[in-house]
Amino acid sequence: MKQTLEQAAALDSYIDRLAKDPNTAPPLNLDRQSATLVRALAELEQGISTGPVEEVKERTWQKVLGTAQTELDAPGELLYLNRVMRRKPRLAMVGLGLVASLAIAVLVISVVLAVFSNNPEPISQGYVTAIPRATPNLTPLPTIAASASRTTAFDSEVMQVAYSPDGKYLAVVTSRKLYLQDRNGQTVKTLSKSDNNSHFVISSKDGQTPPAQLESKPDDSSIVKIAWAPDSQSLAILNGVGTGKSTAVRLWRINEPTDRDFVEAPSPVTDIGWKPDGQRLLTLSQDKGLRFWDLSGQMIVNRLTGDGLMALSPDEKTVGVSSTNGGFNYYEAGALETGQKDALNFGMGGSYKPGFAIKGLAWANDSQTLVIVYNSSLLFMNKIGTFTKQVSFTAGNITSLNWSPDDRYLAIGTDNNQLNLWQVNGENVQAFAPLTRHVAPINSVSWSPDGKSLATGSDDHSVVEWTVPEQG
Amino acid sequence: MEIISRMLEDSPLDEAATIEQARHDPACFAPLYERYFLKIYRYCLRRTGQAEEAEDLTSLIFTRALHGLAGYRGGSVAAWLFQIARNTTLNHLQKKGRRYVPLTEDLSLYDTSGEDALDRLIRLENRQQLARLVAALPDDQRDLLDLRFAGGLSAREIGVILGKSEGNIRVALHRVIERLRKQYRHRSEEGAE
Repeated sequence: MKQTLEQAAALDSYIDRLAKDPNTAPPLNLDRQSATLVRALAELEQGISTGPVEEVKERTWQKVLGTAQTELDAPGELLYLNRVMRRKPRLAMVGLGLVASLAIAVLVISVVLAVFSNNPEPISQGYVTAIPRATPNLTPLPTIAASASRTTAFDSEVMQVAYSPDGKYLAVVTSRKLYLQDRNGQTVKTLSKSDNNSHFVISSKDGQTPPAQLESKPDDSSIVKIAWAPDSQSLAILNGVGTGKSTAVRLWRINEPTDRDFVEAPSPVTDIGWKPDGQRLLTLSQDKGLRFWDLSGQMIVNRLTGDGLMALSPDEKTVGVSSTNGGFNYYEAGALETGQKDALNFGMGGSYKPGFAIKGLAWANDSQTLVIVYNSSLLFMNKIGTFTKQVSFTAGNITSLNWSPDDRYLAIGTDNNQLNLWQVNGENVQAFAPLTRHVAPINSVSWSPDGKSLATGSDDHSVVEWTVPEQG
Repeated sequence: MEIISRMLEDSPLDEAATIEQARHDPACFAPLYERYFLKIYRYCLRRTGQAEEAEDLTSLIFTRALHGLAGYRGGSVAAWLFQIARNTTLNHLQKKGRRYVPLTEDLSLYDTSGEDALDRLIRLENRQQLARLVAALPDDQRDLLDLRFAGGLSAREIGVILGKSEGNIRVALHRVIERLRKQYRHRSEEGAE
């Protein structure tokens, strides 16, 4: 043992000396082979030519410093990786031939190269860069963007509103029931717990669907979130368990008299959503599993991502997933679904400070922009994962947001009872004067598919439908 | 240039005071960056095996360090920085679903100037053989080598990061070297036969 300790100390000392002088002689008490090996290891591990490293060093410092000097709402808390575009070199093959043909060919190839160079392919490389500091113009526009057209009272706080994709229904989730209303504001169906909480009851007022009883699990307490299937024929329903969330997601086919268990995740579900083709339900759970389920309720794939919110881009190419610790990751949806390990994954590590978290994600309908609600800021990220702008929001806390179907407006609900409409036009963001009708925090906003109406649900037990005038 | 870097690495610098200044002005972090960049970059290069990934990780590590200056509680700055580096690299590799990529192919990264062709060939062959042996080591042992050689950390600093005593680290390193020595000799004998 003593010999081992002596050898270990001699070896350690030699490594230290080698780091300072590569030509230093080994100590006498270290055997020759070990000394040779240590020298070879040092060369292997440290033998990097300094030329390119100096360039890397300078480049890296600029990135580090650029990020450090970016002021965010939570200074020093937010880190992110941006995906960058890199132009791939393309070789032009030019054949020999007649001089005149050659000149024409060169001209054509030059034009093609110029076109290609404007469409660089993204590569899997992350850079830390700063969000552009230009602050969008948030001076309120003088015109009133929308007016309240109808207010409907409900039995309790309205937690969510959601127009069906075909625009026929507005689903309203209160802390007690799920209502389906037609576009005239008439309730045509409800889904609610029975008096003894033993089952769900569907009642119908349209005369077509008979009242039905649904078996209810004892732990189903209230509806946490709903998600319309793209065909507007069914709703995925996430129930709460006490103050938490259930592992089960139910499916209500709105034209059938029965509801049923749909999927059962191994961990409480935090968010649900559909693939736009309607063939897969996505669930996110507290065990950070992002799971894809087929329509028979069979799990297709389970990937470790996050435990907060998720947002699949309408073109189904990318999924943004947040974590309750404030982190955010961005994945290639196709690679995730097929279980490939190399799914694009850019992390935006968050702080672990309570209250500092991502509170909302909303994809624009053209899949070009994802808006992330981070504390009191809106971060705009483009489809390749680069943050394009950051807008601070000071009029209350953001509780919900939604893009208009044409992506011209962003509707933002707040806990100070106001509905905010922002006009988004490229780099410019302009705010209309806040709309006030609710007398308690707004919990949810939803655009009608035609973009002419906007519904808001509030803690004041009401749903307000707003008419949005067409803008030139 | 390497001599200058080494001089900067060895020159006296009140690292704690530098960190205190950097809390108010990030640009004041420059001397520490100058001192530790190459070590961190080498370490990342060893862990990922790819120059581009190593560059990205290095920028991420220093950014995290700058944003997390409040997390420095005194003691060895090298140990603090490499704690960040190690966690960042491990997370990165886990997310990528990868363990370790040996840096054996990109020989252009190695400084072989001043050698004739035959010397260079022998040297690179030996180096590749050694690289293969290192790549076959368990991950914790490779990590130890990377921290000690590529990162240039002392046994004491590695001990701080891994939660072990300086003596333990020395003995562990000795065992890894001993293991490699035996394997290397075994391979050489096989090759001779």
